[in-house]
Amino acid sequence: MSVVLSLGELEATARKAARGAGYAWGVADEAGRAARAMAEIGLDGARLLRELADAVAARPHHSLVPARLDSIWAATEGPLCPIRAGAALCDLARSLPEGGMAVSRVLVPGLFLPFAADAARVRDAPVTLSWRGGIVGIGPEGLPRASGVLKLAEAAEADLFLHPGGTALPAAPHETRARPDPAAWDVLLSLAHRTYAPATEASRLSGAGAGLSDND
Amino acid sequence: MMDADRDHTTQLRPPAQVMRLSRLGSLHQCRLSFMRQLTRRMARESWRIACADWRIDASGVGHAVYTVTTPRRSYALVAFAHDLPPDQRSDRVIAEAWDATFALVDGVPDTADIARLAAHVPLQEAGRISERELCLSRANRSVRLWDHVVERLAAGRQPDADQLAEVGYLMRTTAVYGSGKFGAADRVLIEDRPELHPPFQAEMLTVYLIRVFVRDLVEHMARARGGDRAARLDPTAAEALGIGNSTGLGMAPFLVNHPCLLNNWVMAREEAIARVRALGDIAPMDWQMVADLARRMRAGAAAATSRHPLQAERNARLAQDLDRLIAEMAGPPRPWADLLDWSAVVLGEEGQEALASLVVEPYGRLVDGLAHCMSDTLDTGFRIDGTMPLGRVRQLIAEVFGWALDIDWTAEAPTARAWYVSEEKLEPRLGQRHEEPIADYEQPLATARDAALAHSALSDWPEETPVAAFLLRHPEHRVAVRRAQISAFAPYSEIRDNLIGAELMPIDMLRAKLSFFGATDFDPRSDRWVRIRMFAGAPYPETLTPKTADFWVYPGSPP
Repeated sequence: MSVVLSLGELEATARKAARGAGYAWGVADEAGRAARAMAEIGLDGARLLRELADAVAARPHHSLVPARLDSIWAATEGPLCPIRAGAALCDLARSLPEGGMAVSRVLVPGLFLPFAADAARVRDAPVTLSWRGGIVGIGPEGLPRASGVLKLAEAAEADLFLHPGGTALPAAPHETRARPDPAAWDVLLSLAHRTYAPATEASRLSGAGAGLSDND
Repeated sequence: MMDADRDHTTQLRPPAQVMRLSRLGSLHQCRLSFMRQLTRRMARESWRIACADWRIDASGVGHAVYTVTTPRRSYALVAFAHDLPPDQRSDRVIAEAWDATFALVDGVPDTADIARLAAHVPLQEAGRISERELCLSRANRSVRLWDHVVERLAAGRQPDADQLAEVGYLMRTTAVYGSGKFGAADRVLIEDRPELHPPFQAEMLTVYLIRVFVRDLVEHMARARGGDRAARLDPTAAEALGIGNSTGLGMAPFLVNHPCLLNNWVMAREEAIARVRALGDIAPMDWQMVADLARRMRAGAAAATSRHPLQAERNARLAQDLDRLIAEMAGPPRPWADLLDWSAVVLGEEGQEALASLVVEPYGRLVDGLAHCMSDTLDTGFRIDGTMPLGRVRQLIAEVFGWALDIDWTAEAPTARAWYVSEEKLEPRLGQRHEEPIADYEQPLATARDAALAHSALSDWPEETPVAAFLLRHPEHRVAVRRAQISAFAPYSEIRDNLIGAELMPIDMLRAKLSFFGATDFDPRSDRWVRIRMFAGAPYPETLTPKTADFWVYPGSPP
């Protein structure tokens, strides 16, 4: 069965799913935004997030971040999480090294794209993201739906290079609905479900605060 | 105070005063409230509202369509009326059946739209709507008033005035969903339209139209029962009725989750108050107008009933405060700053906030433009500046949450509660952290505690370190750091109270939000559930004109 969602629904569930997958709330916010940003250009952010959740499930999350924020971002050992590295990229968007930076072994690198676009927006100037076999210029107006973007969204892992400047491709017009892969969506829903407390009779009565008859 | 000392420049009240929960929980509607923004625009732009289709049978089952024609585009309310057995009528969000269900359509629905909506709207949360729809809502009858009104009108008589006044509405909504919920159009699709740019205009329009439908339905039911004998509801009596609303905790997290938006709402009102405060000579006409509105508000306060002991006490105090205000205003006009300063000494918080809203009333030309500042996109667009030295972040936290830094956040009382979402209805709830197994599911709404914990963790790092480096190691403080940076440009973004303390009154959060909607008649039914009225006193489409579009919120008509 096909799933058609508002972008807000996709973002809200992606956020909770990221939390359910073990990310801190503030990082889960970033994951929700990233999934939505991909859906806005017609790519399946839900599928990407599901792949990421699978890829990081067995790894300690603190190992998935750059050891240092200089011109080579790499984990002490193993790959980088695109959400954690992407959030750090945006945090530092105002002061990226002129010569650019390597971002090594990024898991599900398609999810790094929305952060590169946000960095361009914060800088109000293009950034260029390249990897073996692809390059894409991203402007402050948003992600292009370029072949490179589509290709990166299919990769399981990639070594990325990002530098300020370059020539941006035109931003893609935004989709108004998200159409996630139903199986991926189900996985996100079950991850999101981990954030819900099991209902008890006590919570039913006191938690929501009713209990009085409201049938008058 | 000496005149020479008076500061006539605009001076906003400090956030430390305004953003306390007890004060936010004392707010009253004002000129900038979203319902009043809507009715002013509807009148100014001569919106046309018509019942385009009415297919409701004698038992009250069927659907109706109300179209709204604005200068730029059309909208429509599709209303489904049901025949609900009394044992299924519940205002709780966990209810599964309602007396009436609604969708606000973007444009004019065709037969296929109606058929599609008929299959989904009556199911509410269990159904799906599309990007053709902007809102999803439902309402239940006030059983006692509904039956009484139908019975009386059917017999060709008018309902009893006391009973009308006591309940105040024929139906109450229990949810009005917008912004992409359950498949509806995302806000981003409509926010650039001038008529929907101010906050919650689609939701307010939905409720306004529901009120028209409810009046028409009660008259329809009376006609079905009484035939030619049946009377129409007296227009003045109909006008006094609002739409009731039951609001629970579901609404409370919104204010915390949208700090920039909260800031803009509060700041617009504070700026309005400050502009009026800065006026020197007050025209007698303006002085008189505020005094008159205070009298009308006093009449409403006299009628206010609440079974909630705290609110009953507050209503009594407000009535007393309004009496004092009316007496104080018997003298000649003087600068509003004087009167506001007087109120800060003499009146309670409800009275102070009532006056603060009242003094703005004569000055539409001076303050109505602020309505444009009440929307916001920064809540999604704002990015942390990771280059900021973390010493500065600590400073920002201390400026907002300085009072929270010395609290022992391992103690029971300050951490008594936890906000969580139950798996049952996916709605926010508030539980007892130390008694229920909910801490693992806590939502990031414990702003003061989280700010204090971040402040403490930041202390272990050198002050000049860019905060991005800290966040790499401490993702758990990302929310607090972001909020601290938002507070640097949005002074009213944070509620300055402990939102998980044993003493928390969640209804204060609900009231703050509802007052900006323009709600009146706050009647808390517990510490976390409140009944209100919306559009009580508002003109129906046939009498809505620029003359009637604004002051309807005050009971009675101008003398």
